[in-house]
Amino acid sequence: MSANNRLPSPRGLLVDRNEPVEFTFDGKKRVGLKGDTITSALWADGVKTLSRSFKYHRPRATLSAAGHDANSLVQIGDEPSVVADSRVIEPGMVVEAQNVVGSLDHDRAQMLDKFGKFMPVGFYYKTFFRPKGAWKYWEPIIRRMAGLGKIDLDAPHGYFDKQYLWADVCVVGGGPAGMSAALEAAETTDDIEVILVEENPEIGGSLTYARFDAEGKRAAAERENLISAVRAKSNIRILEGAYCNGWFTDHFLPVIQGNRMFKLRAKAVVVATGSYEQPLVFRNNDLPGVLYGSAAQRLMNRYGAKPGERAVVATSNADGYATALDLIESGVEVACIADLNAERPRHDLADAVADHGVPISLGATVYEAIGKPHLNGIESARVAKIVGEGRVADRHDVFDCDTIISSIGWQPTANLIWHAGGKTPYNDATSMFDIAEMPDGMHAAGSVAGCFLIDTVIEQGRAAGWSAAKDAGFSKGTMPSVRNDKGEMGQNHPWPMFEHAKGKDFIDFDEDLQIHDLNNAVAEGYAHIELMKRFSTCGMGPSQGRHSWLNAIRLNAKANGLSVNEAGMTTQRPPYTAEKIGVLAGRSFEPKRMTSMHHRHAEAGAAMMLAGLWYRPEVYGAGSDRVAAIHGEARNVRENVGLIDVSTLGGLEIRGPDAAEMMERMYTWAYKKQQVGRARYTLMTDMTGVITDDGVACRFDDNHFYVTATTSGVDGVYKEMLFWNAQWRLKVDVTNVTGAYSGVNIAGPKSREVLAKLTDEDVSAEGFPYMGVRMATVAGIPCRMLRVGFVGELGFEIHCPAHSGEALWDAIMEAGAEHGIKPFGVECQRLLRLEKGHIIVSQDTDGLTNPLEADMDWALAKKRPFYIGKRSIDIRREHLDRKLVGFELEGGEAATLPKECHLVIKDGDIAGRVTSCSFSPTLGKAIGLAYVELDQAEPGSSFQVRIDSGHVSGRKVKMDLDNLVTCKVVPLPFYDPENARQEM
Amino acid sequence: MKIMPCPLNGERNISEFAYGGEVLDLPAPDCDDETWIDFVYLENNTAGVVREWWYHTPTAYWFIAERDTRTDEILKTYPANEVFKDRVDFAAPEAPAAKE
Amino acid sequence: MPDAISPTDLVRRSNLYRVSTGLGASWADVNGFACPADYGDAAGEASAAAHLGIADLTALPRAGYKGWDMAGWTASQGVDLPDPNQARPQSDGTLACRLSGGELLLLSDDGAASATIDKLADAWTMEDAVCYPVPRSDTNARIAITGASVPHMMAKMCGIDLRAHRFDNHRIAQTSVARMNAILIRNDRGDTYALDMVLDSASIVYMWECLTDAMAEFDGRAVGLDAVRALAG
Repeated sequence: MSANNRLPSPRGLLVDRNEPVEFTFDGKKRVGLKGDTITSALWADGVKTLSRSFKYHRPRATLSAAGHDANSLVQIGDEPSVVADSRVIEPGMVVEAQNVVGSLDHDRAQMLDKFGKFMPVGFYYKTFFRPKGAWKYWEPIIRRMAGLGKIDLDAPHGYFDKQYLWADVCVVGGGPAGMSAALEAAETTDDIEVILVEENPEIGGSLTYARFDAEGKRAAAERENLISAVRAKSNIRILEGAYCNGWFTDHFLPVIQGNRMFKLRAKAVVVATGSYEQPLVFRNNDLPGVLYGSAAQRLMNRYGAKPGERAVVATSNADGYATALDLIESGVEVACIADLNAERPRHDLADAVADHGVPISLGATVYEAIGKPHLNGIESARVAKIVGEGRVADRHDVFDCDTIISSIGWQPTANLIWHAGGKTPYNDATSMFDIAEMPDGMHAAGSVAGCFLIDTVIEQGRAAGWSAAKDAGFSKGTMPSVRNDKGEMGQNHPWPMFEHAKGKDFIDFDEDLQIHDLNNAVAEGYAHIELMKRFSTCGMGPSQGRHSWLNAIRLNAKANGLSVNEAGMTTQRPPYTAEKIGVLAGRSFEPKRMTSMHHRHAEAGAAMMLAGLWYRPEVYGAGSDRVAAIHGEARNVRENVGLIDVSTLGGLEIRGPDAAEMMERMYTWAYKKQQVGRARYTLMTDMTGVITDDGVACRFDDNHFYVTATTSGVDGVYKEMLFWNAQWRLKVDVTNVTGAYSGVNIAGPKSREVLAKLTDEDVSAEGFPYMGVRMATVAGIPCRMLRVGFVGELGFEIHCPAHSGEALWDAIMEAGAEHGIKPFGVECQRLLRLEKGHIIVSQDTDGLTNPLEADMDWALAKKRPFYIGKRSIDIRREHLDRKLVGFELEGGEAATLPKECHLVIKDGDIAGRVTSCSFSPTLGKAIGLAYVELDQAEPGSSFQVRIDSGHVSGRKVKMDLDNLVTCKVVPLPFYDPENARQEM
Repeated sequence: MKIMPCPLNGERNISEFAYGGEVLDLPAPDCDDETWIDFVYLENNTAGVVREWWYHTPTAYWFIAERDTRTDEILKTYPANEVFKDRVDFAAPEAPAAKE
Repeated sequence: MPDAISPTDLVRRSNLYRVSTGLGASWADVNGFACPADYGDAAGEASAAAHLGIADLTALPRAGYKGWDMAGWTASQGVDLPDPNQARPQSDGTLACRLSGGELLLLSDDGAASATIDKLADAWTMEDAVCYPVPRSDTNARIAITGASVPHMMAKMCGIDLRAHRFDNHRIAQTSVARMNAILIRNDRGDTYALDMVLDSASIVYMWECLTDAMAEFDGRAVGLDAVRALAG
């Protein structure tokens, strides 16, 4: 079915009548106009129903025409929950209804509506939890029924990004108040930078749809005036189609426009965000055709869509009469005005409506809408006299109509003010929230501040703009004056809710909550506002209480016998409205660091792994057999010569007359007596005595130590050194030179032969002994050479300027070719060091490991008064309860290997854990390190480790305490205990 | 995002900084166990103005901020050498820490 | 005209050289260090450099000194020191960038020679030192980012307001760029807005990718050293 409900110009401010746009909705072709939203295009095309409700699957159409309800959420391709009220149509757009079983017109789940009384508030909590396990059965069924929209897990990752913005004054909201504020701020000086953020595709706000006078001329005049003035100011940047989704400390505002989030830092903020119209609550107030006054005005004046043919208007304020005038002028018959107030309003809008001969029923309300057979529209409205708060007389009048308009009050869009900590107590005289305390640097204007008279709104905007500019440091003249009358009296009806015996009097349209649901929640003991919210889910749907919360608080207050202020408000937090995860993620920067030799590893077929931010070669040319590749690399080091990239190791220069003193305070061992030209192990602990890092210290001069640190630990070590010397004031400079040096370790019995080809330095055992360090030239490159090694073979570590790293790598590989040199990766290095019994900090240590547990008492200075951690280690010496030991397993290559973190079990209890374990091809057996209790730690004793089923090949083993392997404690190191090989 | 006024770099987003704990006096190395354990493990958790260490990561710069923990307001920031003016030494085991 | 050189002919190479080669770079030998001189499109690079261009200037000389009396020692060597987080050109064109009270970074000008850097290197000794050399040539890479669109592009990666009227020439921001620490120095070439970014040498490929992504909407492109030199006229 198609219809043309399009009104002639000047209604339809935002649409271009010369540009039809074709799209589809629910599988059928539809035509709208350029500038239409999905809602307005469909409405003009005769389609009101957009979705089915969440719980009862009742047909729903737009209520606010501004996205303040979940009724207008639709699916576009792989994008779920698009707000049809605000999404502008595009040619070829494919729009689908959500929450529908079957089709929108014939939803098979609509029978749920009939069972409504069997689905009370808290239904899910009460029904599906028994018997035990029942939820497991029901959950997928309920989730399938309940979800909004469809997620496409294969949807391509869109391109989202972020950009910082800076403003002296940010004005949020481009209506009359916001535009006035922006202008006033911008007029203080040419230097001030003002940003105006408007949610809609164009600025104008209420001036694009509301009516302020009987003649209907005022809005257009102010609109043209303000918009042209704002656009003419070069120091106002306007962001349209952009929403400010929260306020964060120091005026940091996320402003989302399309796929970009602006991170806007302002010095001051004007909140001119307007207000949400609120629903009149009566039976069947959710039928398609029930509209807020502002929704009808939006449809008519912004899009030229005729709301209906015959309307009943229920109102308690001037807005209802203004809407009635717009309706009449648009050719909609107004059957009746039900004015909830007992007295005839004294404004010319009411007079004008009366002049059109519209009957006005005073002290009356719509208390029931009669729906069409499938509830997809209205047949008539029942209007009755109000006889008390929420109560109507038995006698009623029936008006045939297809449209019911309500205008009974507003709720300030004060979200940003709440985020910023502003206070908005309820005013019993006006039945609305007042702004009582504004946060520093924030000002409000317009209807968010309870201002409804256009003259006052503009003046208030001016004043807010002036104040914000002043806060931002731009002062000019005195604050513009604001007249006293804000027009707030009578805007909000104090109790616009009329409970019906048969229910379907909706408070929250998103969650299908009716008056009795909230009253029942309180009656069942969920009386506090926070509990009522969570139990009933009121305000927890997509519209986050925008249309429900004011009435819900009033109901809660009444049910508890409290005032609204005593009932209180729930806390409002960002985001103000739904935002995409992609917007939050943005461009997702993931820093990565690559050594200068990175590409040589790739060319050699290395599998790369991440170590902190660094890419490191894990194993070369692994192909299908990773373990064989690792063992091959290991064999080549033990028997021949291998080369590993150690550029990622941390490096610190400690220089100055107090360099040795600094070393002795930061590290556990002794350095003052260390000889120049020698290296020494370093072990760092924190104040609690826990191991945090290790490395070697090379003394190049009395006043100069070059200290290595672990790849992921160096930044922390550097920070810690600077922290302490900010207090100690030693004559020492600490510099992080990690990135300045590339490094390799050439290891294996033939390493000396290879190196000798590349340097004039004496690399003989006598000339360059184990733990010696030298500044030398290698392959023409100035280097630091260290005779240290982690793998237990003759070896040299060579550190060169980072930009020469690739040349050094190439020179060594070339010189070593005739000796069978091969690169080796991190996995091989881990295996070789395990054979030597060296720990890896943070693999074999954890957040509690002290040096005594790690059997490193030898690295602790005993006589010194102080090093970081010393005092704690001294205290812990008396309280040891575990020890790191080496172990081996029976069974050779076929042994069942425990994994890292498998538990040591003693008498059925946890006694420790494995930290490293590997099969050693050199030793022909499985070896590892584990924490065990002290009575298990003696070499020769044994302990048991519980392994998981994954490690027993071909056999499915249940995860239980029986799955134990026996490990034998052996002395460390496993390989070459005399250290003959590394010292040759 | 909160703004931190850094004595070296001016106003910056708080994400450029790391918190370093309250400014505390290091007990003498030979203090009793209770004093040491209190220093290492217990936080004062003061409700009010506290002196705190902050670190500007891009410049590796430690400084001191005075912050009111009730309002999260940063009252002032200054270089560490305004508090730590003199060299600290740990001369002998029985000597107290030199600072203050 | 000298024979064309390849970056692997020289011992010292920017970690970016493969990327630059892929973009069609021709190379210049800058003190034994390969630097992209141009990308074969002089007119296009000149125009990009004026509105948005990025150039790998890692090959140009750098040095640093850091310590408790850096100021005293460098001043005694004739360096005209600016305040912290400010840069000051020296008479030989070297840009003295003061990173803190006790730390100095020296950047050569685009001509790639720096008498100041050479002089300090010759003068410094470990004995009685009050500050110490920082190996800035290898710790860091250097990317020049030139043209009027730079501040808007950088706003996608960095939280400092770098717009010309808010970030004066020769001001320094040490901050986070695309989640990496970096030093940004406003260093206009002639009348053209320009930043020198001094960053972790191991991250230049990552940073280049981020810049390439961020500048796409502004039609930015890689430019060679020649185009940057030409800006100064």
